[in-house]
Amino acid sequence: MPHIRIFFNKTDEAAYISHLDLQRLMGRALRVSGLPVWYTQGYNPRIYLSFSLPLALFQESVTESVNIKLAEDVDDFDAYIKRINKWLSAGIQVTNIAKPVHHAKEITAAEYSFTVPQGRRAATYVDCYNNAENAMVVRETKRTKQDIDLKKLVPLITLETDDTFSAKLPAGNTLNYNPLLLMEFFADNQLNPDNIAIKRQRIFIEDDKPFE
Amino acid sequence: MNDKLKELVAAVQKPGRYTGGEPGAVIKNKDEISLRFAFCFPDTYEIGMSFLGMKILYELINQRDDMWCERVFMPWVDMYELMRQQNFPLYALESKDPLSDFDVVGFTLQYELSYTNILAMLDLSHIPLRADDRDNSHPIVVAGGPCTSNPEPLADFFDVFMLGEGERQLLEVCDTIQEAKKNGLSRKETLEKLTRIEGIYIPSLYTVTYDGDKIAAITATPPAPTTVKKALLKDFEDYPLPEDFVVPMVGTVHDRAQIEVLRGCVRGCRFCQAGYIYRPMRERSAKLLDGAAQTLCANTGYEEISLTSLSTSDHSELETLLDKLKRWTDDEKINLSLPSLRVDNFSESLVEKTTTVRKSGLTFAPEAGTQRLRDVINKNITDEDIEKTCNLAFDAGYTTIKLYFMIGLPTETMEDIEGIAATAHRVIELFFANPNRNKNRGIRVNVSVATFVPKAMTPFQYCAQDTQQEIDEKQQHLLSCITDKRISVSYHDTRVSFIEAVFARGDRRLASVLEKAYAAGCLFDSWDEHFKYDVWLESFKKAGLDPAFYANRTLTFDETLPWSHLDFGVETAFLEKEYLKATNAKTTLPCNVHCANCGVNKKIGGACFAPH
Repeated sequence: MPHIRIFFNKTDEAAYISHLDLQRLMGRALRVSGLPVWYTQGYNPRIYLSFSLPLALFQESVTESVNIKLAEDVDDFDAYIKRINKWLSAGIQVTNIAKPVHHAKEITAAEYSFTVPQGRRAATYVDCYNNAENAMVVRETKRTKQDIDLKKLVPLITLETDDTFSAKLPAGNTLNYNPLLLMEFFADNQLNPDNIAIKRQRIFIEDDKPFE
Repeated sequence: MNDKLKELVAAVQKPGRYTGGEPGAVIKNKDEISLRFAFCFPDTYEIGMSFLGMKILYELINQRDDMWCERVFMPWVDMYELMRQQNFPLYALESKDPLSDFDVVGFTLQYELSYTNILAMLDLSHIPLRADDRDNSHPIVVAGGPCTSNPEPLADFFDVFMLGEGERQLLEVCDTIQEAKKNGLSRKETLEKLTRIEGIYIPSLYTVTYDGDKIAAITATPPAPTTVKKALLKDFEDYPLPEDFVVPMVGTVHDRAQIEVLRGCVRGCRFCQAGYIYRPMRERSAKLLDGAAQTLCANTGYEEISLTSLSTSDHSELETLLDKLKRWTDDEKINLSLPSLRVDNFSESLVEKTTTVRKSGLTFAPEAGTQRLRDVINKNITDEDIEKTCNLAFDAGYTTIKLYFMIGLPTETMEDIEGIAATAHRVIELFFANPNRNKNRGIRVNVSVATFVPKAMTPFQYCAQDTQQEIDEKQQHLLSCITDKRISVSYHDTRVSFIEAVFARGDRRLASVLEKAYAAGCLFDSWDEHFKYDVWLESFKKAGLDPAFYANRTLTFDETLPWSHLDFGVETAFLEKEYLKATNAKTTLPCNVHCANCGVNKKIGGACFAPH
C-alpha cells in the first residue's frame, strides 16, 4: 500500500493547537478531502498518521509533514490538496503531497527563524550569542535534565534582517533541540526572551540536504 | 491576530480556544455587511462549542449575505483576569473585533448559574450592564434559550428576550433591527417595532408591582402584548438541519456530528422543564435525517454521529434510521452514538446497531427509587423495565451501570431514599444472576444524585425545594443504606442547587443580587471550584432579599408568578391539574399515546399526532 507525505504550513492560529489536536484535525481534513486513506485494522480503526518532526506549541512552521498510507494508488493530488485547503483555515495549508524520499529517522537538523517585536533589534541577540564563549543551558526531556553548552553544536546564529535572526539546531529522533533553549540562554544574559516569534523554516538530513 | 492578542494567549492555558480560525468558521468582508451579530455563550469554549443551538443559528444568520454572525465565549479565569488587567475588550472569534462594534449581542441562557458570566462578558465589552444605561451607540442585547421561560432575574440587563424557537424568529429580529438602523430609529423605537414579532419579550415595556414580598401585578405598556407567546417552528419536520459545523481544533466536550432527530418530548416528566417548553414533540423522517447526516459528515470530517434529542428512543422510525445510517457509516468508519435512550424501550437490536466502541458504561435515569415516587414525577418506568434493560446490557457485555436519581422530589420520604439504595443493590444482583454476563470484569454501579430544582413552566413550578438540612439528612441516610463496595454514590453540591432554585423562580428584584455577587467576584458558578456560596449569601443580605423566599416556598395557584405574562403554549390550568395529580401519585400517559390536553395543540391548530 502506497505511502505518501503531506507537506503543510502551521502558522497564525494553527500555532496554538497541540500535537494531539493536530492529529485529529488532519484526520478530519483527510476525510473531508475524500482521499482514499488507509485505516489501521484494529477494533477501532483510525487513519494511520505519522508526523515527521513534531512542532512545539506556539511555534510556527512552513515545513511540516506527515506520512499517511493510501488504500489505493492516486496519480494526481491537486484536487485533494484544493479540497483540504479550502476546508482548513489560512494558518494550516497543505503545500504539497508527494512520495516520501527520505525516512523521518534521517532528519538531523532544523532551521528556525526568530522575529523580535518592534522596539528590539535582532542584532543584539545575534551579537550576544555569537560573542559568548559558551552557552550553558539546562535541557530537560521527559526523563532527564542535563546541562549542555549550545555552542558545541550551534557555534553561531545568523542575522537575517533588522528584526529577524535564524539558527540551525540539531533535530530528529536521536538529538533534538527545542528553539526555546536559545530563549533560555537569552534570558540568562539579560535579553528579553518573550514574544519572539519562532518559525521553523527548513528541515535537513545529513550533509545539509533538504528533507523531502 | 494582532500582537497584543498573541501576547495574551501565549500567557494562558489552552490558547486554542481564543484564536478562532477553525474549519467551518465563517469569515466575511465587513464592508458588505449591514448587520453584525455576536452569538455569546456564557461559558467556556469547550462547552459552548458542543452546543447544537449555536450551530443552527450561526448557519441561519450566515446564510444571509448582508449579515454576519460570529461566536463569543466566556474566557476562562486566567484569560479573563489578564484581559481585565490589560483592558483588552472581549472580542468575537471570527473578526477579533470587540463586541461594542456589533449591532446585536445575543446570549443563550442555558442554565441559571451562567448569569454572572453574562455580566462579566458585557463588562469586558464595555457595554453598560443595565439596559437603561445603554444608548443608541450600544448594541441591542438579546437572549434566547430555555431560561427565557423565566428570565425575570435578568430583566434589567437585557433589551430583548426571544421566547421559543430561534429558527422561527431570529432572522425577523435581525431584519427589524437592520431596517431600524437604516432608518435611524432610536433604541426605544427599535424595541417597540420588535414587539410585533412572535415570541419577542421586551422587559422594559412591562412594569412589575409588589405587594409585600409577592408580586401584585405585571402590566404591559403598549405596543407590548399583555402576554408574550413563544415562537413555534411549525415545519420542524421538514426544516433543514445544519449542513456544516465549525469544527473545533482543540478538544471540546461533544466534538461530533449532532443530528437532532426530534424536538420536544412526549413523556411529561413533571420536573422537566425541557419536556414542557419544547412541546409539541415533532420528529423528522428517517430519510431526511439520513441525508442530513451524510452531508454533515462530508462537510466536517467527523468520525462520530450522535442522534440527539430529549428522548431519542421515542423516535417512531429509529430502527429504520439506524439501518439507513449503517449502510454507509461502517464503510466510512463512523461511529453512532445514542445519548438519550429510555429504559422502557431500549431493545436488543438498538444495542447491536449502536456502535459501542468501549462496551463498558451505560447510563439510566430512574430519577426516583420507588414506584410511588416515580408515579409522582410521572417518570413512567417500572422495576421490570429497569431489570429488562440491565439484563440486555449485561448480555451485551456492559459492566458499568450509571444511575441518575434526584433527591428532594415533592412528597419524598426516607422510604423513597432507601429505594435508591435498593435499586442499586438490585442491579448488582441482576448482574450475578445473568449467565451471559462478562465474567472477566467486575460490576460497578455509579449512583449520581442531583438535588431537585423546581423550574418555571412545569407542574412542579409550585413546589418548594427541600432545605439544605433536609437534603443533608437524606444524603446521609442514602449513604448509610449502601452496603456494597461496588456501588459508589456522588452528589451535586446542594448549595449550588439552592442558588439555581432561587434564580429559576426569581423575580426582577434579584438583578441587584446578581450585580453584587458579580462585583464581589462570583463567576463560573457552575464550576464547583469557583462557586462562592458565602459571597452569594452576603449579596442577598446586602440586597435585602431572602433566598429561601424564592427556593423553599410553596407557591399558590392564586399568586402572580414572575413569569405569569409569558406563555410557552402549555396552559396554566394544565400545570395545576398535573400538580394535583402528582400529589396523588397519579400518572399521565405519554402524549403521543393519549392527548393530555396541555393546550399546546392550539398553537399548531390541530392535533399534535395523527391518531394511532
